[in-house]
Amino acid sequence: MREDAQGQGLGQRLLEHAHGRARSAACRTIHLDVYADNPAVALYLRNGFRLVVETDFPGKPGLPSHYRMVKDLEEI
Amino acid sequence: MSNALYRLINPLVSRLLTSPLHGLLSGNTALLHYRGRRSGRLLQTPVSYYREEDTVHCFAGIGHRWWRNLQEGEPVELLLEGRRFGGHPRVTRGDEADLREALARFLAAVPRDARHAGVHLDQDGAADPEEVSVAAPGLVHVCIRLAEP
Repeated sequence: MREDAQGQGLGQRLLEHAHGRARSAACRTIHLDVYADNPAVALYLRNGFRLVVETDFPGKPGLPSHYRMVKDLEEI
Repeated sequence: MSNALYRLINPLVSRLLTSPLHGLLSGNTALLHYRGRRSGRLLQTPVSYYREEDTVHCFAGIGHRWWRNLQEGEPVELLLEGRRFGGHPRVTRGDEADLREALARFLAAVPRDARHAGVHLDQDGAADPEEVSVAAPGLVHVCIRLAEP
């Protein structure tokens, strides 16, 4: 997300929209992939996503690791 | 390769290895699963490998993080050619003759990694022994003895 659009709650609204779509489609879980240095990780954690696996890529030292996060919709 | 390209491609590698299309990569790339030494988190890393019977050999740069989580006696899991195996890792480093020999065999089996290691291969695919000697001290040898999960 562009820096000048951050802090306005757009990510939260997009996430709620995605939740609504997933529930309408009778999905039981939502998965997402995100790099560990993405500020959105905090948003996902606040919204009930949990980290299931962290991938550490060997190509270049210093690159952030990558998170696979999951939220169980049935728990809501 | 630029960092941006790495960030784009890396997630696709682990996705591909766990997909029915894993054969595009899994002949010399495996997905290693292990636990974080301090965090206890489930971690995974795609690694280049070559296999000798029930032993899988990988190499990592000393500056990389992933191999530091491997501890002798702590089991790991490997996704090899779409099949999951348990395994027990052993990490060795230093300019030892057996590490150099294993590195030469590894680079002959996975030639794409020779460039990263700064080693040239001859027309028969054999690694230059002097360049192997130069590269070896900067690498760690991860040897995983396979067992069924």
